[in-house]
Amino acid sequence: MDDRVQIRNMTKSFAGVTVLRGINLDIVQGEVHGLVGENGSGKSTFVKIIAGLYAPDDGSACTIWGQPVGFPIAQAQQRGIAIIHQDLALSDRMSVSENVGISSGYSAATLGRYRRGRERAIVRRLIAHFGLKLDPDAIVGALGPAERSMVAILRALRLLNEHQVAHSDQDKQMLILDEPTAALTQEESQRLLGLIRGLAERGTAVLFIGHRLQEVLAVCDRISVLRSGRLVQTVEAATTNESDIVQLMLGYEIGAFYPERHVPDRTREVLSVEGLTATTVRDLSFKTYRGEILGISGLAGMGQDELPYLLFGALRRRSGVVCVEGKSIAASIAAASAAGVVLVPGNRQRDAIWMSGTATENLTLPFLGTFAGRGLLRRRTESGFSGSEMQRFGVRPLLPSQQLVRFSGGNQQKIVLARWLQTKPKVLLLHEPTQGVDAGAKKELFQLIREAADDRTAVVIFSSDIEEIANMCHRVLILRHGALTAEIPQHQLSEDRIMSESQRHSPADTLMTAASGLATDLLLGRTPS
Amino acid sequence: MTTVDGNPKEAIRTVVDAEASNAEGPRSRDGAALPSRIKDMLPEMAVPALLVLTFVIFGILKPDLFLTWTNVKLTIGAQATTLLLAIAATITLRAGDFDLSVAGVMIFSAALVGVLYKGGMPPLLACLIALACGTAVGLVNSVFVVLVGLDSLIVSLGMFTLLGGITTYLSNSNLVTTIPLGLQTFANHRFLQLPLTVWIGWALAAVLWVVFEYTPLGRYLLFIGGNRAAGTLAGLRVNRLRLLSFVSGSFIAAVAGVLLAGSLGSVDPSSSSSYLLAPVTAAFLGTTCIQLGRFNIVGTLVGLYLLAFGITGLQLLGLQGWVTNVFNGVALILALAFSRYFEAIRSGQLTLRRRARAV
Repeated sequence: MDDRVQIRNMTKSFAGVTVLRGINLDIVQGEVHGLVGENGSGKSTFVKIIAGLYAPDDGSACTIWGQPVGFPIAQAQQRGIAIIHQDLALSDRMSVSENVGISSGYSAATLGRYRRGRERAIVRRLIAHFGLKLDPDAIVGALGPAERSMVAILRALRLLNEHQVAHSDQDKQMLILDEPTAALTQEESQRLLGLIRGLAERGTAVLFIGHRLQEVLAVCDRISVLRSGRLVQTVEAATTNESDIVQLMLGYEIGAFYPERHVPDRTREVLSVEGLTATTVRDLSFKTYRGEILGISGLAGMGQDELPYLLFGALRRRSGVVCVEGKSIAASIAAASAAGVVLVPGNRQRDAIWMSGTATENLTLPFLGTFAGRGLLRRRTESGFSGSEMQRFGVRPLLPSQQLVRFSGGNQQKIVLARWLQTKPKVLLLHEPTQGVDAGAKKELFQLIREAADDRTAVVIFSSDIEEIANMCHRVLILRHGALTAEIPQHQLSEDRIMSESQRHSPADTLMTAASGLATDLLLGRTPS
Repeated sequence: MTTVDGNPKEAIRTVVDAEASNAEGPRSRDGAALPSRIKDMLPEMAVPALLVLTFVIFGILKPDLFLTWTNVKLTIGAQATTLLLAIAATITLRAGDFDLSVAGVMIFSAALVGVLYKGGMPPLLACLIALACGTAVGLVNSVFVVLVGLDSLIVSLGMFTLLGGITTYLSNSNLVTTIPLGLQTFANHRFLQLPLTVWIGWALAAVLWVVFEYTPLGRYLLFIGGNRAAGTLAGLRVNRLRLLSFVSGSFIAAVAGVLLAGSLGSVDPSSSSSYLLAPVTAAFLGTTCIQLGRFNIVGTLVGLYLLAFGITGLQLLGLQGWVTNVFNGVALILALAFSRYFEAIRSGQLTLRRRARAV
């Protein structure tokens, strides 16, 4: 029996538009196979064909473990193929073993008995087989993000095992992971990547779809690059590097990915923070200057996710003073906005945009009043303005009345940035500014951020993406347990340095992570996730 | 501002174009025969078209009864208070909250006028106090919903029930017949044979249309209705806006109550539940037309009159009173389903499933 999932000449078009052209791809048992490409390059269509949601055009062929299959691919699960989507679909209040067993119906009739002991044993076996550290009775809501992903993966594996025992004689498995690390911090995703490698070493084939190229390079054996529906090349991960892959993805040389840093003028202090203390952040003091790009980083839960919302007045301070140009500002969003502080939140969909609103409605919100003459909005002026802003910020497609949900993540982020830069902020707080943004748009965003700094805005980037922090900032502060532990000047900046400063004598402290996340949720009045 | 060279720009544009045409693909295939402008307007005009269809169908079935000025006049007149309630409900729904208590507020204010007048209060003062008490209900609602953070659907449903109880207590479970004569004369004024309440409702609708569409305030309400957290972080005074929407909704409901007392001359304290659902149904039907997926005043009016004429038509065909509840309930559920469907089409989510099915 063959140990490959083999795809030949796979082509798919919708109403005359070809989205996949002649894809040839082999995924071998025991390998992690990366699939990368810009948004719209055909990745998701490809996955949906493998999952049996779409049938490809005539002439496409696929063999799974040596057996030719028809389209749409039926019984993917019986054949040992499972997909884990980015949204893991876990029930937070249930235990690990309850979550793992739910897709298999706990191997019982609907009104049958739920056998707790047996469920636990099955999960223990799976955990031991993959060499994991996981308590079957732990409540999923209390787990870290990497463990949560693992629970979803175990659930899929259990389902596959069950189907295979019941319906077929083969035991080969392939997992498709759709951007499993998108919501994880660097540290968490390292853990998950380790677990994924473990799966592959035990013989599972893994198709790994990812945006973060460093991770893709780290975890994959081979990487296939899609561009405009074509498979440009499949490369060995060991013999390639990030810029080669970006070039394959874009089809042109991206040049210097990060813009040149100018020398900021350190004389004009803009934001100054004295003794700021809140849930995680402890007695924090720092200053930023006009035109400077300051980076703030640290391991997960060390305060860099709380700080932007504190500075913006969205979370309550316990003590401390925040000053803008020497004037102390109260801890409220209104006060921060009035002082010229703006925030681009990290969770774009939840905190920054209204998905079913139009680009214009999302862009002009904070300064809508400027379009009102005698109290009434001049809507034509407004949409004309937003059209020209969208052009200036390189938003594509250039359709001001299109709903935001129809723009890619990168373009949504450009709209958010355009919204806030229009207010000529003194302080621009950027929380994870490039999360869920593809390479091309990322480069443009960096350029826009640079230009904002040139325009004498004091920019602060709060990010767990060490690479962008190291390459964008003039100065980087490292937080640990909410306190400032290191300040790295530009001439010493490197990813290694940031990593080592973040991890220096730090006991991994998952409890702190969970606690601060919960606190942030509660303070912002959300249901804790 | 962006400095990307010609070549890469082209490359990205091709990707974007492919994406866009990809998303549009299945739709253009369905409606290839229709000019695109008309095709794009179809979903927005479906409910208004249904209203016209109602007239055509019942006009054919009962030309002598349905297609008469008397019928139109009576149906519109009968909906006068529901019209005001539907407008009130639309305001809070637009800001992202349910207010089911408006029907309770209306009957409460209406009964209060009579009770206070009976207690010896001057008519004008009785009306003003009834208005103030009704409006205060909105304040109480928003304390629990906005400040305490409870679910608006549940709070307002609880408030609706509570008000029903209070009204029954105030009126001793009796019909309140002590409505000031001046108020009765005032409320029964007619203009072009339509009651004053209808004109007040239409005028209010016109004002709110302008506020909703052409003022920053209207946009703010829409935005916090769409994504409250994003509104907060964009610097909108979300708590104030929600409080404003609850209070103005209750005020309009209280006005409806005072006018109801005047126009009927008596108030049945237990009648609030018959006004519970129709306003919300009309508002939800409204989201399926004019502006898809958004609570809008014109849509609410279209929805309201579709319900009203549909029910009248069925009753003229000889169906009994029960048809009102059946029709309202069915319409509410269908309205929700349609608005979800149109929203999915609009945002491009549905094309996926369709493609999958087309396979």
